[in-house]
Amino acid sequence: MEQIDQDRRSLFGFTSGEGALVAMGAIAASTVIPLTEAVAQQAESLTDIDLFNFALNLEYLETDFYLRGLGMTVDGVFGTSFGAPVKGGRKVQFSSPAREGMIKNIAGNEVAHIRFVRAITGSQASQRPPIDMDAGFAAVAAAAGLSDFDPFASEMDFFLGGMLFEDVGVSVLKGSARKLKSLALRESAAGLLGSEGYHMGAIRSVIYKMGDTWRSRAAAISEFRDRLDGPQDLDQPPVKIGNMANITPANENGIALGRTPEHALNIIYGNPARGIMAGGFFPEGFNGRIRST
Amino acid sequence: MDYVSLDPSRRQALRMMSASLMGAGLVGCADLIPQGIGLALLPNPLTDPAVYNFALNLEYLEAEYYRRGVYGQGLPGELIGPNPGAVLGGRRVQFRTPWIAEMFAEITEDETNHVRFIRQTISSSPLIEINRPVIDLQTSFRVLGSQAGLGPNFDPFADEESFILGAFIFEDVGVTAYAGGADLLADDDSIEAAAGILAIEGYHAGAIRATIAEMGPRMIAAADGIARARGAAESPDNQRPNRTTVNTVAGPKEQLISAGEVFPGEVVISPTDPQGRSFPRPPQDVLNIVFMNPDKDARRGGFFPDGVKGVVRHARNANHGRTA
Repeated sequence: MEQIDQDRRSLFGFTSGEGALVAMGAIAASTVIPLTEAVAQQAESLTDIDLFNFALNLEYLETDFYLRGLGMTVDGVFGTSFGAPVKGGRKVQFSSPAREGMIKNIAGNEVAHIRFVRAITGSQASQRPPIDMDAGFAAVAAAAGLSDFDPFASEMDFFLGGMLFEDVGVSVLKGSARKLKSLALRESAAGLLGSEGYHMGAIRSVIYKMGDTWRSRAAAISEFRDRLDGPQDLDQPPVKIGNMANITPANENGIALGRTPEHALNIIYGNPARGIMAGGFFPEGFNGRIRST
Repeated sequence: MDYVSLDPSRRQALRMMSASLMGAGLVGCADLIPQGIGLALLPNPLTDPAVYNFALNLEYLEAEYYRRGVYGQGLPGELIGPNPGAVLGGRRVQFRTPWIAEMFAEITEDETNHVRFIRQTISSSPLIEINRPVIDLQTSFRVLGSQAGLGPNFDPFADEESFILGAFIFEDVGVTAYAGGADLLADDDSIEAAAGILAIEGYHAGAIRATIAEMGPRMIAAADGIARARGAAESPDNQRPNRTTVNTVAGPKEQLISAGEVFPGEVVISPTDPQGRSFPRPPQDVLNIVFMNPDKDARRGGFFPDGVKGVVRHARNANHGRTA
């Protein structure tokens, strides 16, 4: 037990201000995360609306992904178009009603997220930018070394596709919690974070349950994300470590890993460089003020 | 809408209300470190450490439950305080399914780490009670089992399935408690850490719900019974419109695994309000559930027969000004 604790600890360290919290033995000063000048400029004047618009771009992607797997689309469900077209995706042949039911629940949550975040951002809501799932997933498959990866090909491939996006959603919401100024929006962001955590707990537990084949495919996706989002280890695969599963991507404090929006964009654009404005799933980039890696 | 226009003065108003509600029972308020720019002169008992102290009670409960089930023994001495309360019940579960045993070993480690992290974080703050409260893992489950339709002798340590159902009781509550605490915290680091714990509790709860869903109709029915019993423990006064909802329609406080609302055939692995958010539960709602008593004046019972430790300890006094 102790040995396993040590292993896990050496794999996954502190993030952001937790070290400060613990070291001081009290909740007091905040730590400053060093940022490059360019990123600092993007971050400097960010409003809560900017952060929610960033989340909205991600929600557009996630929601159409889940709905398309169920044979629906965002435009079809809402009866209107929120912007540019979405390319790719098709109905998945589910083999288990329970797993299809889980995806339906997640899709329903994501539909609600779009409606809610658009209500929060109101007239400033970002329109949906062009989304290309074919190009995005092809790039992931190539970069992750999963040449046969097509998330719409089977139930379990679809679970992998969901994991690709939503672990990122959790980490970026966690990393953004401190940036929001409005109390009510903090509570809302916490609620969104909670539901995305539920989704990933369900999906990663099923992947883990399915054994080595699917664990190793998920590990390839986790490694793909980790190669893109900077030198810090911000990702963990759902594999066995010692006598334990690794369904929760947690550090030694049992706290979820956090990502900046810029690191999330590195993954979504499929490019580890700074200053990138488009690529991967978003051929013309995100809409809104947070769009550069 | 108020969820967009709320400004820092709202935080001040909320926290002042909390102070007036809870201040009467406190001594030494002048020693408290004021939190927040607008509160420089206000001795405020609902400091960030006080909020974390409340959460620590829940983490003790979860950690003791999982450690006893997975390893047959509770938290080590260095993590329970100099004068810890006793823990009633709990024993090692005979797991049949390796991946389920491995999942619970991981959850056990996460919850142990939460206890350690929170203790380290708040240990030197004023008015903190670091000792483990008295925890009942025996009578509590029997009573809850009866209410949930699982019979009068429900024992979550009896087998793998029962242990999963016991976990189901806690994890949803943990998520909603952290979501409800999100707007009570002032310091950026403590907000981010709470968000990270919230996320992990969400992963746990989603994994538990998915595991139940895949085990079939009997397990789903048992879990739904637990969700109903949990909902019944909340004060009727707390079944109110959520102040931050767009349409001000009250969402159900508990969602059954079998009762999705958007698409036919949904299996609810993520219980949310109509906005797709995990429910925020204010501390008084959480206390009603863990005391298993909907009375607004409840101070103890259920999993905490002697009550919880810290400033936030009575269902009534835990109200921090959130009204419909």
